[in-house]
Amino acid sequence: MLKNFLSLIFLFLIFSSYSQVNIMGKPGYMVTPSAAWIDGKSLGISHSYFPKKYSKTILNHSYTSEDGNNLSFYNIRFDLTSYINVNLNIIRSSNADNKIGIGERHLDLRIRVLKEKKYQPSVVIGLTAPGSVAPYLAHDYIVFTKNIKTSVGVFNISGGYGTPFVVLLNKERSGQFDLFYFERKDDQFDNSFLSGGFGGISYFPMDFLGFMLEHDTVNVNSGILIKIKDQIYLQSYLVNASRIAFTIAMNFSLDLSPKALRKYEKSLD
Amino acid sequence: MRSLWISVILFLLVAIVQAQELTKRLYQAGFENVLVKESEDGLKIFLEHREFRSPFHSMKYAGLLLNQQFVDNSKNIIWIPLLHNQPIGSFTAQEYKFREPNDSELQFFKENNKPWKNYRWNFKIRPRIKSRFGFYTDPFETKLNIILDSRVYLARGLSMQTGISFPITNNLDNQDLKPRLAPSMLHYFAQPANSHFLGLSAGTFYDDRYGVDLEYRYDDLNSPWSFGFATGLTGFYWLYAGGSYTEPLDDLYATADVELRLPIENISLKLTAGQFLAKDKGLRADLIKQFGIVDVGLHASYTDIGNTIGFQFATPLFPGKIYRSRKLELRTTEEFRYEYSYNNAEPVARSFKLGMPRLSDLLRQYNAAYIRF
Repeated sequence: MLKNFLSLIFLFLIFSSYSQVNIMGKPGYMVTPSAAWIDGKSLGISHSYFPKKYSKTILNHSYTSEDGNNLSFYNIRFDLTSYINVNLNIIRSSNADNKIGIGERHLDLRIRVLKEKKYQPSVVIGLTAPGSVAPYLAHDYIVFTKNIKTSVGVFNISGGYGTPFVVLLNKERSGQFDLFYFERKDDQFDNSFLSGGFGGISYFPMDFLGFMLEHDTVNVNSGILIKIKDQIYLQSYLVNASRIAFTIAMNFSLDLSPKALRKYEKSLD
Repeated sequence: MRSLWISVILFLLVAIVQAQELTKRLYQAGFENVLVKESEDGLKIFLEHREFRSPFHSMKYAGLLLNQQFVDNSKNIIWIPLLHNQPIGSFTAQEYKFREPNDSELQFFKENNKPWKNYRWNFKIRPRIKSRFGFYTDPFETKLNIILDSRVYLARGLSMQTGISFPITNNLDNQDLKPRLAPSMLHYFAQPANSHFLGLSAGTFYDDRYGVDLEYRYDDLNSPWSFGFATGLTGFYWLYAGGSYTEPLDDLYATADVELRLPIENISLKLTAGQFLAKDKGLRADLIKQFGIVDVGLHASYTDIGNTIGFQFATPLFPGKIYRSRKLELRTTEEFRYEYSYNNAEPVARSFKLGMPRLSDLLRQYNAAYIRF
């Protein structure tokens, strides 16, 4: 009994120590999100670079060049509660400055509906706030994740489904409650970002090293991850086995005391 | 009989010396206006620590500081944190049980409060950032000022804030980069009756406003509910090298709000309705999460001008205290607040910042359930 309990705690420690994020700063692989949760670190900051060649599968707007644009992602995540987190993203295109300004900005929520247990996967629902300039980047999805510990390392497996519909704000509002309407991403925007089934798997042979493979509904991507001191994550990917993308991510705790108090508490120990 | 008298006198002397030492120790650690009142229910300690946003940290810090030196002190300690030179209520040191101030405490405070003598000359450094993102030719338009200012207590609850604003960069508008007078105001804060709070400000504020502002709030700190109203009559103003530009004092705002502390993980929900700045009528909903020293919030507004969503955060700035002596203190601000809305060009449900935290943001830190968390 005690042994079981200890091994459960040990498993939990392992789960919580892999805070791998996707290019949009959410726990996940490269493009796809997972249902993993970064416990105890309420603030996450990350930056990603995505190559031109495949950028149209993510961002395809009227201003996008014929052969795509390099994309830069700037992401902030914070935990509203232990089961809801909020993400803010800015996505800049390499040619964007004079045509679209700063680029796409949006805000989205992740809600954990099930927590991972011994046989039960964790389940997360993601919802994007409508009203951004590039609404086809909205990702409304459900995803499950299960960690499996073996003698050669930990496997982390996820699968999910993203809706092909997008919620649009009715700009010409007539004072009524007709605030929203729906469109299909592929009809309206010729884009199918995260619409349909997606999935990913990562494998951690060691605590600081991981490998990943995902299907993002269009491309198949692979990657490698290195963890530095439990706080910084360096991730490098191969998009469709031909172009390189990367992410750097950091996670912080927000439940702090003021410096003077912390210092004094330390001096007492 | 005689020896009894001597021991009584000795005991009193020890108590006085202890109280003095205690006051000194707390004052050295940054506390101000430390007043000690011996009473039947225990040792009541009034204190204010302007470097900390949350009174919980003040009380915890003071408790640790005293524990070391007064280990054998078996008396109950009762904290009475002060905000803007006014007692808010009392918290027991053991369980942080909150009680509203009683007459004897208020009387004692009235007699012993020395707003001139018991405070340091407190200088505060804070940045003021205003930005507009996404304009085509210049996507990061930013106006950054560093403000060095000070708040001086003139009388009980009455204070004056003024300072200098140093413009660092500005590609947002055409205001020049010469140092100028920082927002300067006269502020009065009071709790005229228990749980009824009042904040009155007059002068120049942030966000280029000048005028008067009145806030009222009913906040029983033992209850998750609170409500308030705020009103102000302001106009636009600008200072530039060698002059000023002011528009008439004709923008009236008046809003009422209800706030509920949800029973989940320090989240509060606040609904505000009324007329916002620019005579914009509508609704705003705020969801605010309090971490230890950082608050993060999301908001959504639905008004005549349009609708928008956005976020805000409030955090003390590193490193806190920079220099402190007996009469002087230089520190970074205890609260830097930044708010961003999706459509920052249109003034949807816009309000302005006073240059000091709003009443609801201050009192949220004093809620007993949050302190005990």
